[in-house]
Amino acid sequence: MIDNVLVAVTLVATPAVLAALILGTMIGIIAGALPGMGSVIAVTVCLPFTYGMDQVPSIALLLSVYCGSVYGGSISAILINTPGTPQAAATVLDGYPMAVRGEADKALGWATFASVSGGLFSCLVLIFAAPQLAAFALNFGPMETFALIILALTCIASVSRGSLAKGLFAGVLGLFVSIVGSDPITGDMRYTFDNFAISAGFDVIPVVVGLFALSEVFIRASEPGQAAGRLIRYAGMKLPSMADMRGRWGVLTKSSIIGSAVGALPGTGAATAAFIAYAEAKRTSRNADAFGTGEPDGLLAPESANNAVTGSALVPALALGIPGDAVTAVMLTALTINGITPGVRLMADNPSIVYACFIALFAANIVMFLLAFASARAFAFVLKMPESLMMMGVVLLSILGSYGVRGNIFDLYVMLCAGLAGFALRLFRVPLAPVVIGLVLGPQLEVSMRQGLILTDGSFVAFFQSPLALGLFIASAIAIALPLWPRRSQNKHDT
Amino acid sequence: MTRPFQIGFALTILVCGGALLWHSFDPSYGSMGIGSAFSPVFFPQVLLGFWILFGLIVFVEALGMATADAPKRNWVNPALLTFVLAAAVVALKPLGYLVVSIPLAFLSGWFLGFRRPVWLAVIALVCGVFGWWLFDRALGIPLPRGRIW
Repeated sequence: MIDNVLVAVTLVATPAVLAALILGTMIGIIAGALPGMGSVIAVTVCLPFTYGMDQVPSIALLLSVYCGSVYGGSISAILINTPGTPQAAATVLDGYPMAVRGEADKALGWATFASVSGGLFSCLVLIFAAPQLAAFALNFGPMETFALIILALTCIASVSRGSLAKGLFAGVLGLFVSIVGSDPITGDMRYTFDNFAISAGFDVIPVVVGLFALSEVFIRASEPGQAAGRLIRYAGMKLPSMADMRGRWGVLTKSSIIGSAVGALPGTGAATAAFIAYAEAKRTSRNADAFGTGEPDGLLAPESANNAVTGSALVPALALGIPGDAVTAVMLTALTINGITPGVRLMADNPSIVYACFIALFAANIVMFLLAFASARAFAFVLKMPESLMMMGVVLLSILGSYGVRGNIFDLYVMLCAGLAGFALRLFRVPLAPVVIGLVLGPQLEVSMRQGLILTDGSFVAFFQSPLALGLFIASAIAIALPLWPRRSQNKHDT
Repeated sequence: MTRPFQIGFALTILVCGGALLWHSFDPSYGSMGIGSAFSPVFFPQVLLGFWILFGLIVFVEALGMATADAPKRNWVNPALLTFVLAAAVVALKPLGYLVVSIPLAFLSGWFLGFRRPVWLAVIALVCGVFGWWLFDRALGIPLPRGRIW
């Protein structure tokens, strides 16, 4: 392995690869920060540039775009309460409150530190344990994936501040919106009311942009006198000190492990990992009550987990030839164009290329760390403009982002309706985060459940016969029961 | 929001959930998913069951909540913004992004409280053109082109 790593280092340490890493990371950060662009569009836009490039520089370009875009999503999540990518949806929960509190520089610092740490951690895991991770991923069938998504959904209870019933309703609302359109197994139309435009379902981005960004614009328009108190002002980025990190290394490591493990499972993705890590961090954190109000642990967990996914998502893609998500699918296309055939033989036939991918991703994380400072200063400059103009920019970006995903005017109507719905939900103190959790995880939940039911001839009992699924169901039950236990004990004590 | 509005909200949740659950028993769904163990509306029906359950809890919570004054809000600006946005979305197809984005930026900036018309016009023009250039030209994501542009 050492020989392969050394060969890979020589392949990566060239001016062309370095240029690709810098350019790719810059494009990725900008695309990630623009709501609606996201990793898939960013990687797809860069795909044509790789046609004329050599193998390693082209891989480095796409990996750095991917890595940068996942991080970039946190910038808009923190500064304008709009996750640039679905992967950054969990970052909003504590990032924006911290920014509103006047600590946007610190919030960006926590997010950057966590993203880079998570990314580097997953690269190290990849280098030393890629074959083992690939074997682990093969144990996950539909039933195990269903159990994993259930575990991720338990974080709805964690993010529901105020009324738990409203939070759970919001989660169900998100899940329901995600199933509108054609049935994923049979193709039958559900809840489309004979409207052709809805037959493809609702895309996540217009709904998320409407719920978070547009509703924020409406809220600020309805509170002209109070809006000034929420102005985000900062001058750059402030990394956490060693003293700040005291007691938080466990959260960082655990979230990176969660990201690395979840990322290796095809079809799960960074958003799932981020929400599981957030729920787990809240369950075990000493500052659990402060989650949702700008708690650093609430930033460390999702950001380290979602960036850890960027590395481990390559495991099923490279070792098994199974693209875990749309981004890795596009990257597999690029590899194939460059004459590399992903699959079980790749590690044996072309180990230097595989390790070059890992080393390039490692380098992309370091480049991302350096470029994060520059991007923070650029965004600080943008945020110096008056709030009304910034919100005007958010309106235009919402339109561009929502339209850009599928090039469909219908998505703009969806965005507008989601904005009004988000405005109403905020007025009635219904948390928005569970809606997004349901929306992101809903399709995976239904598909895995239906596939599992097909495999078991319609028996739910068989779901509990898989040891891995059973373990995950037990973990879900514990995740739900544990937060209730102190309340019950407290009630007994009070009476 | 005050107690009557919270009760109204809970009732709206219940009515919407009930209507959707009623719709899921529509005969048109009966012929779907033949041969599979579960109908395509089985999962949505389970979700809607939870929807109504949580709606009932929200309703009970609203009945029991203390009466409180709601903070005063300006409803005119969000209504105007909604109207402008809806008009812009409708106009995008016939007029194109470039033509629509500039007045949209100007009006949304105005309704959000920026009261320097000349500066706002310049900024709206720059933002509209830059957004179009960035997405349509630089990133290659085609934006709507109307009959005018």
